[in-house]
Amino acid sequence: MINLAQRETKLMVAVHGWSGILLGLLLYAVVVTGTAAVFADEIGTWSAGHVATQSAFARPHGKVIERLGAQTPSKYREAVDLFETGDHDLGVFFHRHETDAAGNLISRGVFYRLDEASRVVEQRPATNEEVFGATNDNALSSFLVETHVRLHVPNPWGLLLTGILGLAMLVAAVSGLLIHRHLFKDIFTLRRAAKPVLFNRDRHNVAGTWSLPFAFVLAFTGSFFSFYGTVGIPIVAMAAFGGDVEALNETVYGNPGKPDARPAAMSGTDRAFADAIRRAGDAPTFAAIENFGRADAKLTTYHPPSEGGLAPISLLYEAGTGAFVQVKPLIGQRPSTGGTLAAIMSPLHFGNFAGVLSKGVWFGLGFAMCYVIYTGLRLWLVRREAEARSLDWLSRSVVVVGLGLPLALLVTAAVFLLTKPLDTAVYWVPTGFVLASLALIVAGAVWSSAAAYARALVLWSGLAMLALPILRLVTGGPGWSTALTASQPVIVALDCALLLAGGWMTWQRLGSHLRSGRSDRLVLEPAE
Amino acid sequence: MLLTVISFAITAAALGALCLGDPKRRRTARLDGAAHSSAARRMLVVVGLLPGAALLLAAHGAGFLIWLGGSAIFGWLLTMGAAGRTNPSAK
Repeated sequence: MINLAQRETKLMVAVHGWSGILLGLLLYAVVVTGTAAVFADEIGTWSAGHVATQSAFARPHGKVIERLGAQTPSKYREAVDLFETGDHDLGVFFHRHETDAAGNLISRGVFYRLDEASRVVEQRPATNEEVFGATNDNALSSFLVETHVRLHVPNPWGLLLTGILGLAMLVAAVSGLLIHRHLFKDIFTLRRAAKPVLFNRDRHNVAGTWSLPFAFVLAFTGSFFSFYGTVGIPIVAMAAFGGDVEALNETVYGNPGKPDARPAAMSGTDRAFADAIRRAGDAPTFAAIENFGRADAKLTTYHPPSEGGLAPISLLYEAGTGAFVQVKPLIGQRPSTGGTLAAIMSPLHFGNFAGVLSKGVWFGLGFAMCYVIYTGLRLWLVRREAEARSLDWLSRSVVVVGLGLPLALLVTAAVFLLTKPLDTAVYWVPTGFVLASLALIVAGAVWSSAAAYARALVLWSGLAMLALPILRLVTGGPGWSTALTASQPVIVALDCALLLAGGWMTWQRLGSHLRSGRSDRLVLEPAE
Repeated sequence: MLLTVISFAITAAALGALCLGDPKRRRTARLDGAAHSSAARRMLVVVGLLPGAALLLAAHGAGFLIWLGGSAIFGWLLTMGAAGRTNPSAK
């Protein structure tokens, strides 16, 4: 129990309420898309119909990578990024670091894509933005992540905006903790049959109290990621490296050893990947080769945390021979507390440290955050019911964003399924989202009441969820037997989740509609 | 994984017992029967927290976070579910 003086409590209530009402809708958009993005990889697999399960790093691509290095202009052999793309194909991006006209550090070079038989199925000059941006295959998951990370606002403003929203969430969590006098006493108290203000307060408090530790963790780590590149790195570079970000990166993330520019064969990659998979217990999610084709070339592999661990694993190899050098800390050359703290920021935010189980828990926590924000906004409105007419626009806005945004995302998923076979998903996914959002905003403005619109949105969302698995199959997605035969349970699991959630929501709405219809008839009986 | 699941199951059972005997919940829902005493509630809180402490002592960071997050979600859903069964005539 926290005791504040009455004046301070009033101040905290005002801070809590106004920070929520001013930034709550934007914060809700970030949290909703973040909750969905916890399963971005799985959504990518489901939506694109990927059935391959063997990691591209487990296949021997070494000779082809060496040949591609020989045919790539030498200026682009400064570094090579290796990552999975498409249905477990291998993306190979030979590049050098440059500063563009706006002063931003970019990578420019040649991108290759290798299929499972190591055939080059794509080859083009590209920048890092093009290589790691949305493709026809991953347009949906990429859209979700992009919305969560920067709300589609250009850099650095988008990151700054989401960073500020993370700080607002921290402010709301701290002020909520301070104004809630009976944090533990009320933890099981939810009075469904009470007056609207009390009921809304209870459901906001209960969800907020249970998820409070994670509100801090998710808000802090989210702000960390937003401000890390936009504020943190430039400030450190200015203070210690005369503004040279590349020098900072080299010092903080660079590899140990003396430069040796003599040409050397790069025949150790397959051996290094096999060893890395054995040491880390899992295939890399990303790998990078520095100074490709030189005697001092180093290969770094990046893996998920080991069983029971939180920090991701990085291993360093000699690229020429495949000899293991050391376990590489995220920051610096030697393990440090700062390096470990920086390394666990990512698993703490994304919940990707223990496979589907930790992701499922993080999804649930994200859902709880959405619930806290939505019920908080509802509570603010219910408390001001007397001014209902003047706040009707806000009430409608809360419904449009709170229930309309998830529906718009479901429509966007449908748009992806329809346009992916036409190779136009990159254009139509954001366009579909904007059109769906506009339609839902207009409908929200003209609907008879916010409450009636909320009921309609729940029903439409339920129906959309039920329709998505069918649409996936109709547009050429793999069936359940194909997915299960290929040991790809993700597709079946997401189909089932959509059918269950959609069925439940539809039943809730139609069931209550039928019940109210039945009770109307019962009331009419005596008059008849 | 097994350690995490067992830890979560113990905490979930403790949370269930705490919820059933929670004095304020029983009072506001006008339920018959006695609520837990303070001593009983304290004991249940300790039982509920012990698995988390065990995971921390075992340096099982991932298990600890899954346990903590899972328990938070379970507690929330439990409270929502228990409220659904409370006396609707208490309007």
